[in-house]
Amino acid sequence: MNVVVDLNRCQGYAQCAFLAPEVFMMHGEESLLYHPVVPDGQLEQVRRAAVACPVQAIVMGEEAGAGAR
Amino acid sequence: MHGEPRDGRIVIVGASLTGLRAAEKLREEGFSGSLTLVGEEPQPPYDRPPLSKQVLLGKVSADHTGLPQRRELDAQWKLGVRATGLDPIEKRVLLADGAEVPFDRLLIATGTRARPWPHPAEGALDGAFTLRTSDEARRLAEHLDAGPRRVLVIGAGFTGSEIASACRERGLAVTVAERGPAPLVGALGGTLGALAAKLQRTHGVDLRCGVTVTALEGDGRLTGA
Repeated sequence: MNVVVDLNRCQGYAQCAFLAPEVFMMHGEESLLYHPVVPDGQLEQVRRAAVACPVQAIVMGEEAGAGAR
Repeated sequence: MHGEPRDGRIVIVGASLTGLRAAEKLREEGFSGSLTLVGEEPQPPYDRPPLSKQVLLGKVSADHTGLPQRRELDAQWKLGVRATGLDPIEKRVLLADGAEVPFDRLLIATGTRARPWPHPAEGALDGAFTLRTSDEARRLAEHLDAGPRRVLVIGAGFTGSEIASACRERGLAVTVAERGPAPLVGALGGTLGALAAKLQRTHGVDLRCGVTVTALEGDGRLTGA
């Protein structure tokens, strides 16, 4: 599973960093860093983070074109 | 897809973010015909912003920024092959491997490329990089891992400024050469540009504005500019 954050929408509310700290981490005061490939044990946490984001900046899904390599 | 045919053959040239999201939207709106995506890079669609952030900070591998898909696509992927031409009369895309891809409708979503250094021999020196692809990000990150004495960033736009920031965060000496009066002036204007300059210098960037780099020096390996 992969995740992407629309950094134009992100306002640094950090709900994601609170709910899935192994995937999302605040960098400095305002910017967000994340791991695009979601570790297997973190799927539920990332789902919650995506739902909780006040600006709905997080998209999670199967890796696009995975069968295409 | 109001009023548009829902079948036939759509070819999308460009298999990155735009191509992917366009393909998803077509399926979402009911397109049921044949969908083909052609991409120059061998990787499936991946996210570029992390390449100048978490990848250069060493937190994420350059090969691990694949984009999530919003839905199943039922598409044919032709990756690792460049589209070299278009025959608009016969409605065919021409590929570098000699193949031809017929279409009823075509979307060109090939994006941009990093502006190459104007002197190819200098740009090919080991240690000289542009940053656009995951492959370039991987090699640049490896070079930063090796602990260069100093990094020179030519251009203080968003990408250059982020690279400088990553270098400083890794404790590397970095000089930024910017033609304009301040970083990010083109994107953000003079007031925010001046603020960005102050921010960079506060964090130890050797920022030089109003400076144009005219040549890269080295013999096989970059040694200066």
